[in-house]
This record gives sequence, C-alpha cells and structure tokens, in this order.
Amino acid sequence: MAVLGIESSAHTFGVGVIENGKVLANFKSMYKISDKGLVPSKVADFHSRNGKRAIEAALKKSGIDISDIKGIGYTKGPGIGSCLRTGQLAAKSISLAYSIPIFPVNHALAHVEITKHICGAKNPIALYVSGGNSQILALAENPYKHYYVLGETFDIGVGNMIDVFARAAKLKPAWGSTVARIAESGKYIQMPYTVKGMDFTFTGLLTHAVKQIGSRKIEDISFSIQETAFAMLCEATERALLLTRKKELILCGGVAQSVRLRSMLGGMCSSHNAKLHFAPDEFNADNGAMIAFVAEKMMQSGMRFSIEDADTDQHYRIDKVRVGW
Amino acid sequence: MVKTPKKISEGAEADIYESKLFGTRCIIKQRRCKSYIPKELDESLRERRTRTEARAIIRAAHAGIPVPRLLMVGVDSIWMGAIKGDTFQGKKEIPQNAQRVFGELLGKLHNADISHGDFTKANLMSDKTGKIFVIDFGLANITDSYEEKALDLLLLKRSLGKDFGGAIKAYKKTAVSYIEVCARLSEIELRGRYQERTMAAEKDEE
Ligand SMILES: Nc1ncnc2c1ncn2[C@@H]1O[C@H](COP(=O)(O)OP(=O)(O)OP(=O)(O)O)[C@@H](O)[C@H]1O
Repeated sequence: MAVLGIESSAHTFGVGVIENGKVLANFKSMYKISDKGLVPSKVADFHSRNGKRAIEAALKKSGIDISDIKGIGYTKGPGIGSCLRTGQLAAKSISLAYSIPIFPVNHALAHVEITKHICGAKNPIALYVSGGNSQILALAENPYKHYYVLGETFDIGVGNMIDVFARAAKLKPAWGSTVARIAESGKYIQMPYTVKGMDFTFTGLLTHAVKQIGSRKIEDISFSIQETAFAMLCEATERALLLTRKKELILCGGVAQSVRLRSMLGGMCSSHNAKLHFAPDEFNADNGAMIAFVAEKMMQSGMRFSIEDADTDQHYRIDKVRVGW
Repeated sequence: MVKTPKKISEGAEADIYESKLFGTRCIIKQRRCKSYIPKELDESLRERRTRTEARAIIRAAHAGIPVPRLLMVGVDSIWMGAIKGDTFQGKKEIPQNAQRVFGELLGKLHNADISHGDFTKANLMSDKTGKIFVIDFGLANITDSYEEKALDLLLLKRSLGKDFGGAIKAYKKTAVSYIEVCARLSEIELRGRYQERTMAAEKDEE
C-alpha cells in the first residue's frame, strides 16, 4: 500500500514514498537560490524540468514500481503559486494515468504530522517555523478535529526575516546558516522585542537590525537579531505550553534546523519538565515524504477527492484542514 | 512582618508566590531568570517589564479599572494584593454580563492609553462577589497607538471566540477611538490571512 508524495511549494521539488508510515524514499531536487533571491517563474521552470527525474529517482530508491503505488499526494498550499502548480500537475497526471486517488495536502500540517510521527510524540503542541510561517499550534477536537493556531506572527515569518536581513547585509545564501555562523562570534546589542501573549511581530526587529548595518559589527547584529527573534518564539511558546498544560513540544519547519533555536527551546522545556521533540533535518527542510505521509493518512481514513477538487491555494491555512485520523 | 512565600502558580515569565505583608494576603510576582537567552536580554526584559507593569497598574487604578493593589516593587519582582478568585481561562462559556465587562474594561484601559499586550481570558479574574479584575500587565504599554489597541482586541477576539460578541459591543460603547481601532483591527486580520509564503522572493525578472 505505498503512497507517493510530491512537495513543490518553494525551491525544493521533493518526492517521497511511504508505506504504512514507513519512509521508503525521500528524494529532493533543489533550485539553488542566487544572491537575488527566489524568482518564482525560474523555480517553476526548474521544477517542471526536474520533476520527472525526481519522481523516478524516488521510486527507484523505494524499490517500488509506479504501478504498485496506491495513492498520490501533493502540496496544495501554502506556497508560491507557480511552484505549487508544477507538483499539482505531476500528481494529477500520475493520478489519471494510473487511476489512483489524489490527495491535496496542507504543507504545514505535513511538517507537524511527520515530526509527531517520527518522534513518537503523544499529545504535543507544535512550533512550526519556516520562511513565511511561524505558528504555535495545538489539536482541537471541536467542531471537528483540526489544528488551531494558538499564536503566530502578525507580519513576516522568522525565516524570511533572517533572509531579508542577510540580503541587506550582502551575505551569501543559504542565509539562515550564514547568519547562524557569523553570529557565533557576536555580542548582544539591544533590539526591539515584541511579543503579545502568544503572538509576535518581526518587522520592528528587522528594520532596526537593517539600520545597524555599517555602523555596528555584522557579527553583533547577526547574533542579536537571531537571539532576539528566537527568544520571542521561546516566550510565546512557553506561554502556550503553560496555558494548554501540555508536556510535549514539537519543533518543525525549515528553521527547526537551527541548532540554537533547539537549544533555547530545550532549556525552556526542561524548566517546565516538558519534552522537546524535533525530527532529523531531512524532514525539517521541505520534503516529499511528509506529503506522502499525510496523503497515506488521508487515504486510510477514507477521504477521497475528485480531480477537479485537486486545486492549489497559496494561502491554504492549517486551521482550515480537517484531520480525519 | 513577612511569611515565607509559597509558590502557587507559574506563568510564562514569572513565578507567583503567596505571602503575607502586614497581615494581609499578598501575591509576589517574581520574574524568572532565563538561562537560555542572552543575559543582557534577560535582565533588560525582566527590569523593563517589572517597571512598565507597576506603572500600568497604577495608571489603570487611577482610571478606575479594577486591578490588583500595588504594594511594593523590586528590580524584578512586584508585590500586590491578592484577588480571591479565579481567572476565566478554564471557562467554556463566558456569560453575557462578563463579556460586556471585558469590553468595558478594555475600552477604559484604552481611554487611559494603556495597551495591555495579553488581554485574554487567562488575564481576567473574577472574585467572590463577581467583580472582574484585569491582571498581568507584564506586556503592557503606555501608548495611544491604534495598532497596539487593535492587537489587544484581536487577542481578546481569539481568546473568546463566539463569546466576543458582547465584548466588542461594550467596547464600542466605551472606547473613545473605537472607530480607528476597529478599522485597524480589520486591516491586521487581512494582513494575517493573506500572508504569503514568499521566501524573500524577487519580482520576476523577465
Ligand atoms: N493579584 C493576584 N491575585 C491572585 N492571583 C493572581 C494575582 N496575580 C496573578 N495571579 C495568578 O497567577 C497567575 C500568573 O500570573 P501572571 O499572569 O501575572 O504571570 P505571568 O508570568 O505574566 O503569566 P503569563 O506571562 O503566562 O501570562 C495568574 O493566572 C493568576 O492565577
């Protein structure tokens, strides 16, 4: 009962194969971001050229023939429209060619669910941090089972904030890891810190940090913007943990690859006897396995979608998704 | 004079102790030291928030808003009168009259140019007589900014869900600049909903 999943919400075209929750393949083909950033039409071009090869590579790795695939999932959103459509198109063609059901998957939900599964978390809240997203999530049973947003960024995602800062400072991509490396030798300078309960904003911090470029050491600004942003995430998450009285936190999404963020959250969790979970990096970065994982769950719980329903939605919010398992 | 404090609760920033000062029950809010964030940030947050919290409590009390009585302020601790009662956090349904009071209290805070910063069920307490108090001014700001005030409303809306109806009605009757604040609230909500995942995307070059 293997299921294929295609992820193409941004610069990664990922293809994964899952069988009963087991990851058989998790192949990625990645568009290399230049100093200019991500040009949607070029990335979409790249995806359409490499998509077929990526699907073949994943199948080969899994040792499963395409005719034995029982379902296909793809990222419906959120993401960049033109990129999402490349994955959607590939999934639709496979669904039609092999007469297998198709599953539109929410990208954020996939990050949360695969992490929960891999780490064996039972009843956690989740901090989902990526380029454009930063949300604190928990499962609710009413009116139907879904993830609701306890808190989130009021403006930009934490990943984007670091990217924009790094580009303004003319640093080299991949920006997240470059800033992290430079920050290692930095000292703390005061920065705007804005938390409202379980919500937070990053533009004030970003604007201030960018203004310091040239007059302060880049190491110090890098250190301070990163520490401040992560401390804000930590505080909002801490409030959510205490309010929900949960004892588990899962960290997921691209920024979950940050060693510093993990250690801060680890410190916070242990001060409340809570446990922090995070998955290996291949699942924090965008990947196809997580899409296949959720698609399989959707299939096993009996959900079905017509080919006309297999659309994309750039702003597809996680709190709109019914969790049927 | 002072009884050994007993820890009764843990917030995201502070440990809450109960003690006695000059014979009356009091609450000590001691901001916790967080070893996992830079020391400079930790210290400045604790000191700054303790100062604003004390200032906001006094300002709110002057404006006639039920708040804990301020007794003593340390560098990172506040001693205040204890409210005998519970927060509304665990309550599934908020009765109409409480909804109305929430809206009025927020309106009054805003009229006094106090934005609360975490105006949710968890920070509203009712005592035995049913009188409703606003607590936890740790994230408050003394400001006339519509944005900050709109964020208070947004947090209350999220926290109350379907019970927000009575609160917003009362807020509109109380807050002097409710038109500007509500307009700003709609703007913020749109911003959130249509937030795009752009990854520092450039415009297409061609
Ligand atoms: N004056 C008071 N009288 C009685 N109980 C109080 C008083 N102040 C606080 N408490 C209790 O202590 C809890 C935590 O207080 P408070 O919200 O001020 O701490 P905090 O660390 O700022 O919390 P958080 O940041 O998580 O919102 C409250 O929810 C309430 O139960």
